[in-house]
Amino acid sequence: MNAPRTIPIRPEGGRSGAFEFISTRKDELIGWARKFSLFPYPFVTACCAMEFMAVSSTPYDTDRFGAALPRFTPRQSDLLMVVGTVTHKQAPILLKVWEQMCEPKWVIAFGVCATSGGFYNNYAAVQGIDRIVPVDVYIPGCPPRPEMVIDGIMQLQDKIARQRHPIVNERF
Amino acid sequence: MEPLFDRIREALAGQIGASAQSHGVLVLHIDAAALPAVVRRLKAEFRFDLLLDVTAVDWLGQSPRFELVWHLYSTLHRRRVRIKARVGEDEPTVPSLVGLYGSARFMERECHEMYGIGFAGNDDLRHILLYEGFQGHPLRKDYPKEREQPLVPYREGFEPPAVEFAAGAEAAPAVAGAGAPARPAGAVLTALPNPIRPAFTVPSREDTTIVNIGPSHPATHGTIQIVTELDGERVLRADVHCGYLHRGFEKECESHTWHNLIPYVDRLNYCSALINDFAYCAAVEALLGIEITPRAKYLRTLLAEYSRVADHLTCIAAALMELGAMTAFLYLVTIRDYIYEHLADLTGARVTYSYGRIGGLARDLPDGWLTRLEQILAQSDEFLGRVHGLVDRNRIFIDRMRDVGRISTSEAIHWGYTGPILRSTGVPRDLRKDTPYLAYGELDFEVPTGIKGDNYDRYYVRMREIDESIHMIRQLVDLLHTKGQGPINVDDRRCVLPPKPLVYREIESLINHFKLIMEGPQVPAGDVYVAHEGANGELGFYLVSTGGGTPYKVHVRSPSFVHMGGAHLMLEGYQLADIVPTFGSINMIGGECDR
Repeated sequence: MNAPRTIPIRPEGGRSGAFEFISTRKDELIGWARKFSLFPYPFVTACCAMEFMAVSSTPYDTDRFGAALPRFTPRQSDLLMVVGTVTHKQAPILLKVWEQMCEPKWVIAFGVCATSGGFYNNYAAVQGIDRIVPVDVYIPGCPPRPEMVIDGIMQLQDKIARQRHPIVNERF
Repeated sequence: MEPLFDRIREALAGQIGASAQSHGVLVLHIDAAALPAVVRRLKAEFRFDLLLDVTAVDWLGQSPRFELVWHLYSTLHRRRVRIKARVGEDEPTVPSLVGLYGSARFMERECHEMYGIGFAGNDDLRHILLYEGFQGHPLRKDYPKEREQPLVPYREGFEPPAVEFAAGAEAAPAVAGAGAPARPAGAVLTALPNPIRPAFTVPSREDTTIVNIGPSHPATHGTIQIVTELDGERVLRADVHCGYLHRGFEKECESHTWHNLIPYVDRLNYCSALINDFAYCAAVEALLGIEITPRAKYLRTLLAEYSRVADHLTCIAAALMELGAMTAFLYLVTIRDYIYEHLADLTGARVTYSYGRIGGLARDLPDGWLTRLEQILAQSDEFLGRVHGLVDRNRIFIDRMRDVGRISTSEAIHWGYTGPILRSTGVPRDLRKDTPYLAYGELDFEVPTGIKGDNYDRYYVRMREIDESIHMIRQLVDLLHTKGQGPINVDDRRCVLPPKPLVYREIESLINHFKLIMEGPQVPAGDVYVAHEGANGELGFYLVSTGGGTPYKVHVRSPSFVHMGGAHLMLEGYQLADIVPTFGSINMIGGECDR
């Protein structure tokens, strides 16, 4: 019987082999890296928090999308998840948190209240957080099912992968 | 009339006007100036030791315009008294009750900003649910529902809401965002308005510091802000601010039909939405004089207890997670997710169910629902056992929970506490036992109580309540099989939709259906206060009807809001880090607290 043949990871002799170099576009490479390392800041206010808890725990597990580790300081996070109703009283806090986040940053409006004010059409509720901060992905639902949240995160990942990612100045 | 109520009427004969018994509550009409004297006697002689609620009704067009409403409860006699007084439109002021009840402080602040009622003797009438600079009083009938007063300028492309004020009112809005030009993209606002005014801004001693916690802070799940004065790590003073989730629930209610309120009611305490549903429906049914069917009664009781389990699971899971007990969190949230999916089978939604209906329920149980229920209960027994094993005698857990955030029975009652927090101090006060409603009179259960009223007791009372609820659910499954057969809705065309086949076949049912949907059920004029034992304490609905399809006023006596009024007691004197477990064990629910 022949001895099993081991395939060396590096070709013998120290010569460079396959997959030492890849060629790609800078934006694609950085987008690929960024979309799998989202650090969400949970700006959790209302009922949607219940589904946010469900999404981030065992049965749904957002860890699979690289978006599991909540950062509770805006300075360490790049994804602002606005989970629940934002009222006019809350709006300055939301804006402050968003302004404290470093570029690049993305915003998800989680639930119909964050998207449009929902069925709270009155003096207290902001009729959609896009009046205060720019929003990348809107997840409807009151509250959305966890599957919809996961779909929203995946859509954001697609968006990040397709975006330009300037790293030195606006053109590069 | 009840003997106790007769005794009260006799004793207070000179000080009160008309009095009556309405839906089991003694209603006293008094002159506002006599309030402190009447309440002092009720408290001292008749042991009305809990001030449940303070609110007002705006009878626009009548004179005097405002009707102030106080609800008192006696833990000894288990009876409620409602006190009413009218005040006029010009500078409406009534005496304050802060000297008699601590809980009056927050309630009067809310009533002040919502209706513009002054409370003589309460020196702290800052904004509580709204923000500094807000003009007008939103729950007055002449405040338009949709008049927004934004604090920050909107982004480019969004029209700021037009702010028009009636002549004579303060002309210019004081808030920064209202009427301001749009904010161009990329502009950074350096000076953002502060929505609150802290009770103190200067340290009382040289070596202390003032630290602000929240409102967006990981440890305060829910949006709450605490301004603290620290001596080293020790909290000297705490000033608790709520209102960041004030969504205008009560104003919103006044422009929807009685049925259409059910989704709004769901979102008060969103951890146990069904309890809110059933309490609200019970209040409307009391006004209509409806007795629900046995099947609806047993199903409501079962689902209320099921919701209580989900609520306590959420509370304990979140509190444990904040202490670092991630494994226990994952166990508890897993069961909770089973419950959510199970309730979605029945109601169509995981969190906010809209399942109650005035006069019954939305639909009957699907096939196999009770079989799956037993599977989930068995699974939760096992997981709860594991959580007990993980944390009950865990040194870290005990060090952070035992003797932290203590509150005594007398303080708890003075500050209007109900529910698990009051029971953790050793008082077996539970509406399910004291004044049984739904099917609780037929069930065998205990009211677990604590000893010291600290965090550990609150945790343990909740864990024991889950056991009791599961015990009740199992009894209710048997009762459903034996006594709970039949229809789920009452046969009353005033509130229950006619069967769909009839709507298509005969004109009377078609009209009936149309009227119920378009105009809402016609609820007889009157007012009612109905309270159920919510997961956090006494959840009361005070409804005022003028006989139409839309409520004139809906007021919620929410346990979380009252608990926030005395929360500083559980924080002061302890470490800064103790705020985390204490807040976890209070279980403040934003939707219910701020409404």
